[in-house]
Amino acid sequence: MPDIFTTRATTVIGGDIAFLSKKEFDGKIVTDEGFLGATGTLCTLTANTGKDMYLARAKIIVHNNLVNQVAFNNVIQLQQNAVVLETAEISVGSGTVGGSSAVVYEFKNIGQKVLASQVIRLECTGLSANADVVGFIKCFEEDTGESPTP
Amino acid sequence: MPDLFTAVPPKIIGGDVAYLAKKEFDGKLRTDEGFLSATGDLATLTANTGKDMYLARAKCVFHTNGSSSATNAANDRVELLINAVIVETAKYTQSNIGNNSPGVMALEYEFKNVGHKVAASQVIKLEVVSLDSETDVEGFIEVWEEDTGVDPSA
Repeated sequence: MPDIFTTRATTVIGGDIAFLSKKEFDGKIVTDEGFLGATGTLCTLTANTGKDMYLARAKIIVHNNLVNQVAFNNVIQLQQNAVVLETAEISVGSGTVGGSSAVVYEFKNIGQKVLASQVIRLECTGLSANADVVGFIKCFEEDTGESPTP
Repeated sequence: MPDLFTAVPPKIIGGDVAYLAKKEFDGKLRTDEGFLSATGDLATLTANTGKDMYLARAKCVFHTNGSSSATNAANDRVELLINAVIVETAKYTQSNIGNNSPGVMALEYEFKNVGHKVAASQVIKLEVVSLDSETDVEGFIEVWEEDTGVDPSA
C-alpha cells in the first residue's frame, strides 16, 4: 500500500542563482540602481503593502572622478528601515605619479527583512569631491508572514 | 508501522555549480564572450522561440592596454541590459597611467543582478557605452533556457 500521507521529500539543486531565478519566475524581484557625485540616497526600495521584503544583493563601486587627487572618506551605509546595518568606507587614489582602480564592495548583510512600507536603501554619507559612486540593491517580496523558502 | 504523518525535509544538493551543471546536462546552457577596445555590444544572447531565458552569470574585466598616455583616462562604463532595460552598471577609471606612473590594476567586475528572465526573442547583453583609448574590456555572460512558462527550479 502506498504511503499516501507522508509529504514526499523534494530534491533541491542549486544556490543563489536557482533561488533568485525562482523568485523572478514568481514575479517577486525588485531592484534599484543609482549614481551619485555627492552625498545622498544612492538607491532605495520600499516594501509594498501586504509584503515582507528581503535583501538579496547590495553593492557599490567607488571610483575616482579624475580630478587628480586622492579621494578619501567615502562612506556608504546599508540601511534597514533607517537603521545602519553595515558601512563601507573606501578611499581611491589618484595623483601625479599614479592612481588606483575603482573599488567594488559587496555588502555582506543580506537576507535582512523589512515590513510593508519600510525601506532598504544605500545612503552615501560621505563622498570626496574627487570620487563618484554607483550603487545597486536587489530584493524580493513575499506575502506578509510567508516563509521565503517554500 | 510507518510514520504516515511526518513531513520529509527537502534534500539539498550542491550550490550554483551543481545547478548550472544540471542545466548543462539538460542542454539548456548558453554562453557568449566578447572583447572590445571601443564602445559597442560586448556580449549578447537572444532567447530562442518558445523559451524563457534566465541570466546566470555576467562579468567584465577592464584593463589598461599599454598605451603610454600621461593623461587621465575617462570613465569606462559597461551596462547589463535585460530586454533593452539597464539593470546594472560597472564603472572604472584609471588616472595618470603615464610613462613614470606605476599603473593601475585591472578590475574584474561580476554583475550581481542574476536570475533575471527574458521571453522569447528578447535579449540579454553587455554593452560598452563608454571606453577611453587607454582601456580594453572583456565581457562574458552565461544563461540557460526553459520552455516558456516552465518553472526554472522544477
